[in-house]
Amino acid sequence: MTETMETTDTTGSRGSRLLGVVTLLGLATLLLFAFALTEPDVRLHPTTGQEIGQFDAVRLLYLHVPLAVFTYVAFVLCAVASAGYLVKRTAWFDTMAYAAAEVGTVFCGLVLVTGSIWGRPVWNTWWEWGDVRLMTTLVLFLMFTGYLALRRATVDPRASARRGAVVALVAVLDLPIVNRSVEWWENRTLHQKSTLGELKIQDLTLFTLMLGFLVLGLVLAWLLLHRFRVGWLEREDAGHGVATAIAERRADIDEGDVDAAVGEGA
Amino acid sequence: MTHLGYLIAGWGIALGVLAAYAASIVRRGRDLARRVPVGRSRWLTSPGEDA
Amino acid sequence: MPILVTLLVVAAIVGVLVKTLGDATLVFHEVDAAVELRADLGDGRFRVVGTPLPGLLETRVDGESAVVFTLCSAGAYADVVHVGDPAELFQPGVPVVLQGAWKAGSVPGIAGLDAPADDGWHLRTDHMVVKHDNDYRVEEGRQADIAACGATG
Repeated sequence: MTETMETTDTTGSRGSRLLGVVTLLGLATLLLFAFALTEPDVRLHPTTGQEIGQFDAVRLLYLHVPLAVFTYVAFVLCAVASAGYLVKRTAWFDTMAYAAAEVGTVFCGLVLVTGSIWGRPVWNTWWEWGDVRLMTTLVLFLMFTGYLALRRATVDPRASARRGAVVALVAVLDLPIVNRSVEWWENRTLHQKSTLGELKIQDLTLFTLMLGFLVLGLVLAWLLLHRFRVGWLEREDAGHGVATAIAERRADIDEGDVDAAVGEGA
Repeated sequence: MTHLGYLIAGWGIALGVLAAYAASIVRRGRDLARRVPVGRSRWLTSPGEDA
Repeated sequence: MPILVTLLVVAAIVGVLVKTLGDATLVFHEVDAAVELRADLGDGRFRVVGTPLPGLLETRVDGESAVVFTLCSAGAYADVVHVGDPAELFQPGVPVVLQGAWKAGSVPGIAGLDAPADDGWHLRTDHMVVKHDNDYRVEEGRQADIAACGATG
């Protein structure tokens, strides 16, 4: 089989470049709304008449909450692709699962960091060991960090894919616990119950939060697309390397055979 | 604006990490794309776009 | 190598779970439960959640700055001496979670409080976090209402 050695120098495509431009414009718009156009969270207490609320710290939530939601999306995608791999055993499912796990872990780490930075002024603490949502999110982060470490530590690609798929399907079981923890253990968390579920948000605050969901969704899509392509190329590169090595070895052997045959004849 | 330091830290770290991660993916992709023949680069193009 | 990685991650997860689930002081009690369980709690540390009533007093206790107030939730009241700096967003009407223990005796300057529990006990606390609600509307529909003094969960 002959194969052209023509290569390219990018994982970008027309579609992904357009997505990238839209994402950057979206981020700029989100910053404008989050910092300039929305009001701080300040209201008068109905009994004391004093100003209460999160004040400008609320502006961190336009980032923190969408990051948390798209962490869920990435990890669910990883679990679905992992299940797909275990059933179909195709490279596409494994590459998608690995990409979603890596992007999801980055998002999850940022959820913990932005939440901690928001918690210091609003809650008066960087971290609360007793908070069930913090703990279950930390466990989620640790499990997917373990997933990534396991994938890198396992040399055999098929064993790596198989073990990773099993770990992802176990790790994703933490997701509903993270999501429902504020309802199940409400006396063990500082996190409030769902704001959107009870529609206790309105006007520009609601719009900016929705814009945050849209833009962070675009960021996730762009990262996933490119990380998937990198994963696919890594697989092809490894396969191409092995194929080249085998071809070279065969050529050496054939040459050796010819030499031996020539030597015998001489 | 209240809590400006926290806002800059939170948004700055998040956007900085996302940008650095995106740059690392692009860099890894460029290195790999140079080594892998176009014929083996499925999934790298938009629909209707030539590889 | 994969086994080592797996063991390290499992150990980290178990450590987090033990730290979280094994510490009984991390559960928040409403004030009524804290009062009801006073004999059982003894001088042990626990967490209590409630809403500070108007009428805060700033004072010094054992050489440290302190704030004295009355906490209410689920229709019950407890006087509090919080030692150390209160939370930045601490003020009457904003629910807080406090960590500390029951102490016999009234709070200093009790006469200055608007509606003290004055039951011969007070909470001596040294850790305060704010528990905000999930309402981001500007005016109507606010949940926080000191007069109702309902459950703060």
